[in-house]
Amino acid sequence: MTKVIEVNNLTKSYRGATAVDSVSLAIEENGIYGLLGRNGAGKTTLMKLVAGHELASTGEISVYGASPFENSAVLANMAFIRESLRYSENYKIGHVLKAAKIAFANWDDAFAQSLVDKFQIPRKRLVRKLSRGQLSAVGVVVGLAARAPITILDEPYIGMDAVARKHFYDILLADYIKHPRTIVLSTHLIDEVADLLEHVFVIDQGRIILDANTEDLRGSAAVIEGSTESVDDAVAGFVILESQTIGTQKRVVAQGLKAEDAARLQSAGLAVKPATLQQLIISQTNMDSSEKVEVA
Amino acid sequence: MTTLPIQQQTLVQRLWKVVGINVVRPWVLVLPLVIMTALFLVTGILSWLTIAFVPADGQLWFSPEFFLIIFLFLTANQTIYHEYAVSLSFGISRSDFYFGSLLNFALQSIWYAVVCLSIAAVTGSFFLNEFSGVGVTNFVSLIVLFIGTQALAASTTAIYLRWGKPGMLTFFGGLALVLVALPVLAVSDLGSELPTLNSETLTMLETNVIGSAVALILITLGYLIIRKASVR
Amino acid sequence: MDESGRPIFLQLAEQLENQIISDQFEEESQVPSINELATFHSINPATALKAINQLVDDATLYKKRGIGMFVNAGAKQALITKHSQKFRAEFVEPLIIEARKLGITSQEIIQMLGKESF
Repeated sequence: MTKVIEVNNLTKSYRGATAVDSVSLAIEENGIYGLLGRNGAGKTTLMKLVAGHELASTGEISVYGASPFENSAVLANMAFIRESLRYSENYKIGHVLKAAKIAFANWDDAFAQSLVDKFQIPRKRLVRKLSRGQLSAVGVVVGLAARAPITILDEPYIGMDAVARKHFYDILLADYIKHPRTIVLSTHLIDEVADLLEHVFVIDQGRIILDANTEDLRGSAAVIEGSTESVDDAVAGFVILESQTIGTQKRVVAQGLKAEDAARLQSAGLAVKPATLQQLIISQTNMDSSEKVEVA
Repeated sequence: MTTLPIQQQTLVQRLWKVVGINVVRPWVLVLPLVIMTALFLVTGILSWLTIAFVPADGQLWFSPEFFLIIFLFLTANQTIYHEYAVSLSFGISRSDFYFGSLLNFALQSIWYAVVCLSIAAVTGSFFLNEFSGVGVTNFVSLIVLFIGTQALAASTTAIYLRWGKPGMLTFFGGLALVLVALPVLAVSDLGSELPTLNSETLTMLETNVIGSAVALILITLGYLIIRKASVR
Repeated sequence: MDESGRPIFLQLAEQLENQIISDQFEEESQVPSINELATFHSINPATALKAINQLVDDATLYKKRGIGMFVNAGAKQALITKHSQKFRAEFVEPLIIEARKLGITSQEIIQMLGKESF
């Protein structure tokens, strides 16, 4: 599989604050990649750098083998939908779509129109008068109908209720299957989006702390619960990501367990469950931020 | 470079994209003319009232294209400011955006000049002062003036987008200094020979030359600023 | 797929195996395509592919070029054997653990089973 995006030791600093810190990663053609992280972790900055909207402080970015910054040839293959995109004064959704049609070579207008109906975006209202969720829907319509070979979506569902978000995930998946392309989606709603993602990057305080295939991550950690004594005995030797005690009971998220270990622990009376992607990532993030929560 | 799914377009194609995006609302080509006509009527009525009640040597001159120029300045500002972020998201490079916008302003300026002079040709005296005739010089100087205004507006917005408030202060501070220095220079060098704004002292040719020169300077300045703003 | 942390491709593979065992997919019949499975379960096609590939590796399914994936002859019996081997670990062991916890004797369990006939 060709690598369409390659980032090498990328750093971006603004007035002393480092937003992106020595990030290296590679994205292969035609996949759905998740960029996960807390607010302010550096997701948006990283996406801006890859999309050529900002210039790196140090390091390299290569998109289709070239630097994207001010590179018209590469830029024409990208769409970057940000969560706070403001359109021209007095534009209605129809005007936005007309502009998008001119800008994007692969634009599918019939698809765009059907999406406007599906998301129930009012056609007569000015875009600047739309609700937060409707504005996000506009971004989603543009982002998907553009059919850009590299589509970058930065938390595109802000303001959308759960039903609208489900629509978005379903439509995204269906269109990706029909028209495969490289999609990078940033989110902090891990469990909702997890099933769509083939690969995740977790960014925390500007650094990549996880870079793995989603299915490999699933089942790589387990949640073990039982009496503090038996848990401590059982988990000796495994990597502990998180631990909480309540009274004489303890719950631990541990990495490195194999099927035999899980069976052994269960017959010893401990509750063992696979950790969900969200649990794993949250524990990993907390661990790296050295925050351990003790419930006395 | 690995093969791009969407092939590289020519410069003209890329700039034309920006022009196209600017006219998805065709109303933007009509509104300035509507404003100009409305203001012309208002100022026309005002000057008629003034002339009716004020003695002959206290005449006031209003030029509708002055208002059009102010309006174009403001709309050019707005256009650049609002479309910048969206254009980037739509895969358009900064330089394509700025130069495409300038191309758009140029084409619009030609359109406005055509309308203005058509009206002047029909009514014989659409403009109350120097542009009272219809000819190539007028046409060109009008276009140049319109483009110059918009280019200046685009440049100031580009400065704001790239360098923010400090950039604006520096630019306008410098401009203010120049604007103050010029009259001071004029007074000191030419003594009390201040050129008056009375249309009798300015011949049509002079005004067109001065106006065009000023506009050309503005355009060059705008181009240089935009080039600087596009690259980091 | 369900909310547990188990890899989705494993869950999907297991589900397909169960469907073959219960004759929902008969031998030599076609199973849904990768894209159909992905759309139906709202999962990434790469995950569906992983599940199918596992079943192909196990010789449960085979690929007919240009048409799709089909259930292998003898797959049902092979799967029944495989699942039977896991039966004790997956169902009986947990039953024993839980019974011990609650103090239910094996006699009581045999009595409970006695009412069922299989």
